[in-house]
Amino acid sequence: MERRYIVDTTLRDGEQSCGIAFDVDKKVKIASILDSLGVYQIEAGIPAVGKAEKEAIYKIMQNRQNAKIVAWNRMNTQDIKHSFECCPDIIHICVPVSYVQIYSKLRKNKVWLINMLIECVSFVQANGFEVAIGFEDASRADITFMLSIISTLESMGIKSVRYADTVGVLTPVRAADTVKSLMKNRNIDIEIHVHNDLGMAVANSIEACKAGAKYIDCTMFGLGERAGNCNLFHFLHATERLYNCGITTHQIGQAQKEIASVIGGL
Amino acid sequence: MIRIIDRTLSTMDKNLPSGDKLLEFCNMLIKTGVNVIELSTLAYEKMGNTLPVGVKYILHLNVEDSPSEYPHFNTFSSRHSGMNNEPNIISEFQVNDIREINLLRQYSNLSNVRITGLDDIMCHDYTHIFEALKTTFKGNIDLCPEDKYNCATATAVQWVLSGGKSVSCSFAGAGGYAPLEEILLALRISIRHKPNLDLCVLQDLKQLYEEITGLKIAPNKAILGDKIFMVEAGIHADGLLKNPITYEPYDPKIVGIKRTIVVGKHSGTKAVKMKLAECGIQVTDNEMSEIINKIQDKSMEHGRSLTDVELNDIVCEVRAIDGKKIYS
Repeated sequence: MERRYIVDTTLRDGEQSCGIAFDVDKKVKIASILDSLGVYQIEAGIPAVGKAEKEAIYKIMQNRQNAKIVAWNRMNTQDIKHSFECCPDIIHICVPVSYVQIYSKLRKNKVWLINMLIECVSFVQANGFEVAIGFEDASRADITFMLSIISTLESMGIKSVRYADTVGVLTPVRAADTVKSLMKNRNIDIEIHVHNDLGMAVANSIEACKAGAKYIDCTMFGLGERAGNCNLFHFLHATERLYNCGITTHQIGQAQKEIASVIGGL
Repeated sequence: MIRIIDRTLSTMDKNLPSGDKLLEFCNMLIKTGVNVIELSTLAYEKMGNTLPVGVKYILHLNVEDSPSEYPHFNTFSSRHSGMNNEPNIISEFQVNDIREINLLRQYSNLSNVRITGLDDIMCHDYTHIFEALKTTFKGNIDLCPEDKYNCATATAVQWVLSGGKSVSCSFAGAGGYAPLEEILLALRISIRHKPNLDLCVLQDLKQLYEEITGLKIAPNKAILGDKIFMVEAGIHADGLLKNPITYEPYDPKIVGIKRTIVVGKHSGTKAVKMKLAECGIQVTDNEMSEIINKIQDKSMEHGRSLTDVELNDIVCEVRAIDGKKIYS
């Protein structure tokens, strides 16, 4: 079976779901369960949120056995400085790539975006950390613009890009077509990150994998903003005869019980 | 023409409510824009053999039932047994393994078929399988994917996107089928298929469905959940304020839900300012910094977002103004 890699974002996107807040102890315990489970990467949180979040990520790094620990950041150097204090394996920079995000939310333009991206990536690299890039709202973005950003990123040594269906509007055919197009035109690995707003998160992740995506973002219990992210158990259950993700459905069942007991009721 | 068949009322035989409730459910389904409602013989009898107008109906027959016993119906569905091959009967075939599709060739002469199952079709080349079905059957094909692997909505939507004319589903995925509400919104967003512009009735349907089945719809259930349009994270609240489509797949009002902003561990300055502004409260930068610290501590202590009353308490504490309520 082909190998695929799970990126668990329960502690970042999962925790962003309304009504969920983990303290330092809970985050450290959940990360430890995910690490033992065999998750490839753990997106541990957002250092810029505050002192407790930074302490949690730092402790997660101290306890880590195998998983790579990721700290998530908005695309600005102030946020990124907070990440340096946590000493994570990877510093993730979230880049809003759809025009609605660039022009309505940031109220900037494409030139500004690319300049800021280069500044942030250089800043992280100059401080000796590995950088990962996430394309926010990629499912509503112009593919030619994304390809041009990837070209810039390749020249800076970036090996993979997260394709985020931030508002959960992807269909399976679009997931497959876009991942194929990105991979055909650029020598880069794709990480698929989908939301379940239309109930198609598992299918969209599967289609992205079939098209070549190497990394799949999931959360425990499908936690995440609005209708949640791709549910890790559901994804593994659907693909256990298709991909080797390094985790069995039996193992995930046990981990779910342990995490539910840490969270104390969902 | 896309035909959406709702089969919810063929899945409730074990806990059928009163006839009035069933009629109410039927009337609400009609408002969603479904083209056909399918019901069981038991549900039909419980409704006093009367049905609301405004939609077509299919009666689901058990193998021992005969269409002649139900003269008010033009169309029936039934698991294929070889006994009922009339053109007005949709013959159902359960496909649990895609290799079984080859076995269907012997039934290619049927004019109305329904394929159920296909749970793991997304793990295969689904476009190839759809083509095989279209080649096998020259008549009408209805697809009723099942949801064992949480891919039923995607299968139904892709069937329509690839030219399929008919899909069957059920409200909230009752009976293990694709959830109706997800198909409605997915087709609305992906191909602008809008049989009904106003889907507020989905919230009423949810309430009645919960009452009938005794099941509680999860707060994060796509389209229906109570919390799907509650926003906490600061960066998203800011984006939503500038332009709601930055972080919403569709306008919550369409499905009868109101967007609410709550504060919690991730709420930044802008989100908290926005929340306080709802009540005309302004705070200084120093106060805001202290308020945010306390919001974070309290959220982590409780393991959740904060209620308006709890936020009020924090602001009062920071300002040291006893008894002054921000939220009434």
